[in-house]
Amino acid sequence: MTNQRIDEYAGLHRSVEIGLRLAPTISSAAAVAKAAASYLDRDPDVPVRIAGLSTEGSRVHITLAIGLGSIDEVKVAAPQSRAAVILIQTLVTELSAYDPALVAIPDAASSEAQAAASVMRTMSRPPMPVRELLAVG
Amino acid sequence: MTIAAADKAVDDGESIITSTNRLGRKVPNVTVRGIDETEIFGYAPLLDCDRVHWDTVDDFDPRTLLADLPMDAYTRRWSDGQHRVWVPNGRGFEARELIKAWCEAHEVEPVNMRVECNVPFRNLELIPGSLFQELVAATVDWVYPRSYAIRRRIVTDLDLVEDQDVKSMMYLFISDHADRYDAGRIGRNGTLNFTAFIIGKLRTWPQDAARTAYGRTVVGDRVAINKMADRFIANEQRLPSEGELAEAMNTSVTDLRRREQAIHELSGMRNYTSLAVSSNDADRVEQVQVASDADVEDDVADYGRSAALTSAILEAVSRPSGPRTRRSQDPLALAAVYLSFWEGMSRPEVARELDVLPKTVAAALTRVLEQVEQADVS
Repeated sequence: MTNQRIDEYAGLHRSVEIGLRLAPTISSAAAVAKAAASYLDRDPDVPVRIAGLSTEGSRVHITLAIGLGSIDEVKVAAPQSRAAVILIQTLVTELSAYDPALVAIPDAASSEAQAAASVMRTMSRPPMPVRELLAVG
Repeated sequence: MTIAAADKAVDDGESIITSTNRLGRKVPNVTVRGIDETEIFGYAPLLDCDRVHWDTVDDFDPRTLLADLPMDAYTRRWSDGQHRVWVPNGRGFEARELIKAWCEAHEVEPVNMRVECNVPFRNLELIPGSLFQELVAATVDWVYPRSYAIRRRIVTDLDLVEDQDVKSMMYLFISDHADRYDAGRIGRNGTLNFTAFIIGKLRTWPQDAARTAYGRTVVGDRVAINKMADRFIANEQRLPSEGELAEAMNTSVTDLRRREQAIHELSGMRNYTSLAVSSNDADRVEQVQVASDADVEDDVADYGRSAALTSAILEAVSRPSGPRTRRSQDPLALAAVYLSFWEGMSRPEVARELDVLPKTVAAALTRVLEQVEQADVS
C-alpha cells in the first residue's frame, strides 16, 4: 500500500485511478503517443498521468493512470467519473491496434515508474500537461 | 644462414608434391653450431605416452606432484599456462585419477582434466646446454620471414597483439610444440623434418590462438561461417545472402545472426567483418537485429487476450444492463473490477476502499462478469 493511499485513509483525498497500458511496437510508439494525446485532449478535465514506461521485447509499454475521480464521484457515477470511463473506452476502442489493457499501476519505486517520472521531469520544465507531453512523443 | 642462402637451400632441395597438391621442395634441416637437428633431437628420444592435461584455478607447478606418481612421469611448462603431465602409454587414466586425488589432498582445484592417449613426447630437458633454445631460435629465423599471411592473421584477429609481438609469440609457439615432434612419422613425402613439422602446425596457429583468447565456440562458428561462405563463393561466384548462408549451415537466419553477433561482440575480435550482413550494413554489425527469446506466438496471444478482456470489461461498464442501472456508464463497477482483479483486493477490502457495502461490490462484479462471460473472451 503506497503512502499516497495511507494519506487517503487519513481523509486527505481519496480517489480511484485505473491503469491502462498501451503496447505499441518500438517503431510505432511515437505515433501512438501522439494519437493518445489527441484523444486525451478531447476531455481535459479527466486527470491522466504517465505512470510507467518500459520495453519488453519489441514492445514499448506506456502505462497511463486515469483518474476516475474521488470516491464519492465514483459511487454516484458523477459526470467526471463517467467522462473518465468514456475516455478509457475511447482509448481502448480507438487504439485497439496497440493492445490496450488494464494493468496494475506500477509501484512508484519500480524502474518503469521511475522511467516515466524521469520523462515527466525532463519534459515538464515548466510543468507540461501529460497531453502535451505525449504529443511531444 | 641468410634468407637468400636459405632460399637457395630450399631451391636445391628435393622436389615434392605438397599436401595441397602443389609442386614444392623439401625445407632444409636446421643446424645449430654445425649440429644437425636430427642429432639434437637424438638427445631426447621420442616416447610413446599418454598425456594428462588440465588447468587450475590458482597458480600451480605440476613438478611438485611428479615424485608422488608411481610411474615415469614428465612435465613441461607451455606458454598457455595449462598443466601437462606425460606418463607411459596406457596409464593415462590411472594417472588422471592419481593426480585428481593428489590435488584434492593438497587443496588444489583442478579444472577440465582430460587424457589424450598415445601421443608422442620428447623430454627436451635431456638436450644439453642451450642447444634446444638455439634450435628454436634458428627455426624462428627461418620461418618468420616466410609466414607473412599467418603473422597478419594473428595481428588482425587478436586484440593487444602488435606486429612486434609476433616473433616472440612464434618462439613460444615453436618451443611449446617441439615436445611432440615425431621425426619418424611418415607422410606422403616421407618423414618430416622439424621446420616442415612447425610449418604444418603454424597453419592453425591463428585459429588456436583465437580459440585460447575468445573461446572454442565463437572461433568454431567463425571458421564454419568462413568455410561455408568460401564454398558458396567458389560455386556461385558471389557472396551468399544471409538466408543462403543460414540454409547452407543448416540453421536459421536468427541463429546465424546470433552467432555473428557473438563473434563480433563477445569476442571483440579485431576487424571482424560480417559475411552474412549485406555490405550496406557491414559497418553496423552491432545493430544486427536478433529475435528475442520470447515465444512470439504466445506473446501476441497474451497481448491479444488482455486487450480483449479489457475491451469486454469496458463494454460492460459503458453500457451496463440490468433493471437497476440508470446511467450509461458505471464507474463504480469499473473501480470494483479493477481493484478486485488488478489490485488483488478482497471484496470487503474493495468495499472499504470504495466506501460502499460488500453486497454492492458483489453486485457490481456480478454485472460485469456476466457480460464478460457472454463476450466469450478466451
